Amino acid sequence: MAKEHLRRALHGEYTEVIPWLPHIGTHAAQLLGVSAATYLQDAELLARGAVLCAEHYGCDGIPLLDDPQMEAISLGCVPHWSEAGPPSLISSPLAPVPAEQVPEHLPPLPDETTGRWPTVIGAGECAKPELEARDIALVGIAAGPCTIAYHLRGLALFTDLLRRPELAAELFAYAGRVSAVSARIYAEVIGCDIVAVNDTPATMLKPEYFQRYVLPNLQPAWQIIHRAGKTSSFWA
Amino acid sequence: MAGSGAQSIAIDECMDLDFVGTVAQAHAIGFIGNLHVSAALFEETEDASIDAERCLAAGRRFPGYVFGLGGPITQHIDPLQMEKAVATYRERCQR
Repeated sequence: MAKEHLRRALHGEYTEVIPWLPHIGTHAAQLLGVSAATYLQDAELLARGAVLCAEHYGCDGIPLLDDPQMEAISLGCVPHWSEAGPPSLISSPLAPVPAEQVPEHLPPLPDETTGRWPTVIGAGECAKPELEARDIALVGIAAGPCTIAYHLRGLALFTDLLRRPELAAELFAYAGRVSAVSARIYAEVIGCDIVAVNDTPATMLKPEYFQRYVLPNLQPAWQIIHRAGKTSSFWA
Repeated sequence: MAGSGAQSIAIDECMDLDFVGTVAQAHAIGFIGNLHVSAALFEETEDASIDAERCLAAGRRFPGYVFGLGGPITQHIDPLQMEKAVATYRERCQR
């Protein structure tokens, strides 16, 4: 019933018990006794970490991977790995490009073979049956459009919003397609029960910008998640 | 966020859970939150049990509430603080 309680609550229903779903970050690395850098790049550790956290804290659902930089790295951003948390990005492919050239420099869309996706998919294959046996929901977290656009373009994104809004709109639309690819892999390939889109940088935008640049570019991800019969969540 | 098309939202520790519950109910969506990870888990200037009580007291007034953290956590927490919050959750939710 744990998974069903969680699913029903996330659909806005009262449930007999309040479910529990943590935003677990890289805490599993601490429980496993390994560095965050090692944990985030190892399918077996990711799977073991998810199951361990879910059991240790008695969760009803658990994220498979909680690294907002994952998509950006698969698109050419350079990470600086950390022992104690998710990686930082030290270089972004679109940051030095003049605004008018951004559309022609957009990287190819990722797929299941790009970047760390094979590792994440491998982790999902291991963790899913373990969690299913314990009636715990598997949660995929996709980076949102503003997160991806910001990672690719850096701070220039915010001057683009003011000076070249039509080019910023193209970058956000591209980022929304990347986010939808992540949602598809989590929902259809890995079979996550819940797929969240995490877009914390979107909270830095004023409401008018949020509605123009973020809202429409979340829709492809929601459509994919709902069509797959999974539960969607927006984290920010 | 509530009107974005998602079936649920998770909000950070700075948001008022009563306000979020009201908005979520109006949109017929679920909402997750929002234990004060900075104060209760990282700095330990707030009691994790008391903050879990705050979340549960506010959240259970609305449909669609899921107990959760108001942000991601890393290696810099004492797991005992997280265990305290979870123990309170289990006790209050009879799990």
